[in-house]
Amino acid sequence: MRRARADLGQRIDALSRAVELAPADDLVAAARTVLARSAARRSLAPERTVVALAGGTGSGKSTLFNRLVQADLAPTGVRRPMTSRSRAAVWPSLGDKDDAEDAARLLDWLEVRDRHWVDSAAELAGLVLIDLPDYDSTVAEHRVEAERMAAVADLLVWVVDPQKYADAALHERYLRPLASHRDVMMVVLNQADRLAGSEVDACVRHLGRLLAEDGLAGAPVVATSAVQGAGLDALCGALVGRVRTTRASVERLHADIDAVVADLAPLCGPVREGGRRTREADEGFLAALERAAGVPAVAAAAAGQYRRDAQRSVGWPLTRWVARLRPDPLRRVRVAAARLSVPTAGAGIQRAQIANAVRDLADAHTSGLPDGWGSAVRAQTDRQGNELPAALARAVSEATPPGPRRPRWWAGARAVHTLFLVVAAAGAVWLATLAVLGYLRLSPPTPHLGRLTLPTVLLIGGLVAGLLVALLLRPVVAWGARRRRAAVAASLSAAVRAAGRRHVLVPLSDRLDDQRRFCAAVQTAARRR
Amino acid sequence: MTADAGLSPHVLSAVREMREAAFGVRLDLDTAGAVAGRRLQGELVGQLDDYVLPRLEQQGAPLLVVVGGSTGAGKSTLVNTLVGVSVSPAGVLRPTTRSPVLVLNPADAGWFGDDRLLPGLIRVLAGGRDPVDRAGVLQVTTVQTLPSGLALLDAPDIDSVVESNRELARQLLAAADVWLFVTTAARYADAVPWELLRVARERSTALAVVLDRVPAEALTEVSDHLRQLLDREGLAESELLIVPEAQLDGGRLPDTAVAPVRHWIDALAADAGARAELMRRTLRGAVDSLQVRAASLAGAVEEQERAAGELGGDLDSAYVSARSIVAREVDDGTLLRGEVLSRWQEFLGTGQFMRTVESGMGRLRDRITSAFTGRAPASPVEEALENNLEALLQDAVERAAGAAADAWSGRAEGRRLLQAAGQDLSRAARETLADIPGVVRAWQADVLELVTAEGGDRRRVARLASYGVNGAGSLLIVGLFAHTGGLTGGEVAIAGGTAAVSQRVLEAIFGDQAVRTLADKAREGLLTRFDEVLAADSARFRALLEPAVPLPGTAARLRAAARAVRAAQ
Ligand SMILES: Nc1nc2c(ncn2[C@@H]2O[C@H](COP(=O)(O)OP(=O)(O)OP(=O)(O)O)[C@@H](O)[C@H]2O)c(=O)[nH]1
Ligand SMILES: Nc1nc2c(ncn2[C@@H]2O[C@H](COP(=O)(O)OP(=O)(O)O)[C@@H](O)[C@H]2O)c(=O)[nH]1
Ligand SMILES: [Mg+2]
Ligand SMILES: [Mg+2]
Repeated sequence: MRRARADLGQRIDALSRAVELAPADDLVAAARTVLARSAARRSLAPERTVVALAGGTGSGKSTLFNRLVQADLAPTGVRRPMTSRSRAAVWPSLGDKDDAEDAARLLDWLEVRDRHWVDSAAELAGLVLIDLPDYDSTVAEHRVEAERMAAVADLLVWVVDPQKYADAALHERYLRPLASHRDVMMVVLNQADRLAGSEVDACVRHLGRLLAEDGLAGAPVVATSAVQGAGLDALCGALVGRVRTTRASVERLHADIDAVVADLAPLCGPVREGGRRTREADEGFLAALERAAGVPAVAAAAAGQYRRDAQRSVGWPLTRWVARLRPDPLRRVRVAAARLSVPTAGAGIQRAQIANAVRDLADAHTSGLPDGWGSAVRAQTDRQGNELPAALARAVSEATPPGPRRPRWWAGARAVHTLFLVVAAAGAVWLATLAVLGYLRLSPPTPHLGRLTLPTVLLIGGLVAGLLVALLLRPVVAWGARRRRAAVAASLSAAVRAAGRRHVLVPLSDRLDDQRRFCAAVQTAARRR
Repeated sequence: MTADAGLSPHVLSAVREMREAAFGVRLDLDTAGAVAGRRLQGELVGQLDDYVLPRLEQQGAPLLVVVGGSTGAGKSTLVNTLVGVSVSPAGVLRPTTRSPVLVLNPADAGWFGDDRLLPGLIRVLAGGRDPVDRAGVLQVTTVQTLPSGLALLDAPDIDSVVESNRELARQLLAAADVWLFVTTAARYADAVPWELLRVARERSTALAVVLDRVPAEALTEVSDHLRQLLDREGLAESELLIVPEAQLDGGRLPDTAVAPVRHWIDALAADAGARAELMRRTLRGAVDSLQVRAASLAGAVEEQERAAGELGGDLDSAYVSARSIVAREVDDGTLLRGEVLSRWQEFLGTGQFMRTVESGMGRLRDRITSAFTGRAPASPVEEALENNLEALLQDAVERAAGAAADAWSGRAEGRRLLQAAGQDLSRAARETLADIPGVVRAWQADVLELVTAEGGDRRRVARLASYGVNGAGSLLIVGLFAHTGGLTGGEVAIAGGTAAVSQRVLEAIFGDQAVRTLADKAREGLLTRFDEVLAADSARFRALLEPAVPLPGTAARLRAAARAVRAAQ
């Protein structure tokens, strides 16, 4: 009936990994308890089998205990409730020298002080049998003790009787929550002598049906009479079977892990792979950061500055004065000599823009994630988003966009302009001289070029040529401004994007990796080979 | 019987009022006391309907003895033995009895019609063809062997896995004149029966305890112990009837075994005064208990009111703080900084503004553009302002939704409401976010209108209009924010006097005081529009909360009813 299972050690390792990676601590509190218990139990005589007799008051736990130990150790009686402390009987293990000490340590851990050492090993060698107080009387401490022991014993034997076998106290409070522990449980219908022969079978069948409703279909049921001895051999035989395998402690831990893993499974919805949608979300996020950091505005300002400088340097000298009237666009974005910084974006606005971008990003990455993970990842991302405004300011101020260097050709262009201006001026001076000389009725011979005089050609030609050069340079300047805009934008956006990646995208994808690793760990922990 | 119980006739009407008040209670929020409160309400209304009101209304009815207790205690066996007929099947499979069996003398048959005690249970003749195993059925059997003047009711158990049995048993016990509470030598220390016995003590319910199935060797020890326990629980007065374990004969106990119980019954049957005394005692106890129970139900309602108030308060503070974020950002000129000012400067600096102003062509161009696009073209200033404002509002709503969801998750009842919603409310509703750009544009239109209206005389309007829609809009908004925001110190320097320019233009047109008024109105207008956005978003939470809020006045009505009952007594 029992399946071979994956190695317990592997399951425990996987479960501890899952616990470490879990989205929230309170979700894995039960798993932590199981891990702690596993570690302890595995180090304490794991080949021994701790069997606990649990049941309501008066069902006959102590009487059964005495029959199995073959000594009147536990007081039994008609007064209810009778037993108030757990009591252990320890059968020696076969061929183990340190056996007594090991067993004592195990009982210390179980916190059972009343101990009886059985002499003969016989077939129950390695058994630790524990008689528990009841869970259903008016004495609440009994229930506490019984529950404590039921959580640590390797094999639970639920002792019921014809009056109490259908009590809500048993089924609702204990059996249903232990549905994954079927393989480490047995049910004993004691006081069978109070029923007629055919009634015993009917009761056992009915009990089986109730167990099935509890999710424990197939759990073994044995009918006994502790007083008259009927069925005790069968019970003993069942115990011998469990004790011999020396696997009960391992089986119990497997069952505990099954239970907590089943609780963790809902945290592992479909594992998501970063698809096109999330890549787009990442890109959208980085672009939004650029806007929030004012990258386009700064780049535009830099381009404006370039145009203005160009106008000053290579514009037609006669119209340069117009440029001087315009405000310096970079002044408002506080450009120190060669360095740009973010415009004085209102801190509140920038924070809002960043927060919005972070939320969009987190939503895109967590849509479809199981609840526990979605909220944990969103909360983490929101938190990291709060660091962004400062991080972006730092990134931008540390970025080194190309400064407002003057291209070499500006000097050449300037020289050409100067040349043409000089030519025009020379023509003007010549014409003026001619005018004065003409006034004085002196007319020195003036060279002609075609129908025009040379000075006229010089003046008009110089002016026209200057204007032409300025016109020809215009698209070149515009192209230079575009290049400058692109260069500044590229440099700043690289800094901004790096900050966005470092502070948000990388931690986010790490956390999503955690989810994948968590799910893999839960799957490994759930695996029974 | 009303008079017999020593209760004034006013009690009946006071109790009726209490029944209505208790019935009207709704405890929909999952507060700490909600589960207990709902149970209390069910029990209270149930007991009033099943027992107190019928008992106050009718006189001379037989004494209803409800035989209750643990499964397998031997209740059905005991009843069968007492009446000498198998009226209620007994069996080894637990639990056996699922629908209650009422046994009475044929002479009393008329007393238990449908509208009397336990009106909610359908009467079915035992042994008839009607199915008896369905819920809500009361099997009625008449037997000559039971003396008239009292009726025995074999109830389902109080503690088995069958939940309906447990509920029905409690309902029946609450309707009893006397409890005949059956426990056994194996059960007498169980926790569940004692919970019920304590209820009986609290309500001074008439009670006799049967200790059944006592093995001979256990007789003295167990009965002494049980008597001690009864003493300790303040139930010393109640009768303890011992039924020793015995071999059954045809499903019945030997007469000797049940002798104490039979004697107790016969004595009651013979003594009308004693019956009346028990009936009065239980009824008085039940009526007395009404005050405490109504008060604690009112307490549960008030707890719900408090919880609802706190949940509402969570919403208020989350959404109000979102509003104040926006108000603060508007006030401190944040909206103007960065983009907006840059654009404004560019707008002025590149001469666009001046050209628009001077050529007077602005309006014409705007008209043409809007004719094609259906929307006044936004200047870069307006666009930047819009973007800023939208980002700010969106963030504020998101923050509010997140804070509200967080606050609710911190309370058990809030968590339940959120879970029941089946969707994640921690993010603002998509529709709310989609509305924001429209809200911002509508507000910009408001501002324009406001200024036009404020402009009053035509000359000013005309002068304003000459700036063109773009220019005027930007001028106004920047000017207004510069006013409210009060760009101070360094900022004014950075603004390079541009905002000041527009402010000066405005002041030149309207006058200093008017600009201030305009600025305030524009600010208020923005916040009012934003309030609508917030209200729309918080409505998602309120839609969850409102149906769960107790109706106003419920608690007060209950307390008043409780006072009226006491006064009537
Ligand atoms: N030996 C013995 N058996 C009894 C006695 N009373 C009841 N029984 C047996 O105990 C079992 C349960 O008896 P019931 O009378 O059905 O018990 P109940 O209290 O009506 O139980 P529910 O209907 O399940 O609540 C039956 O098999 C009875 O035959 C008794 O005094 N002595
Ligand atoms: N008839 C009968 N009585 C039993 C049986 N087992 C226990 N008893 C009696 O039931 C009572 C309670 O037994 P006990 O072992 O103290 O129950 P515990 O509370 O579960 O430990 C004692 O009086 C026992 O003698 C049984 O199988 N048949
Ligand atoms: Mg015991
Ligand atoms: Mg019954």
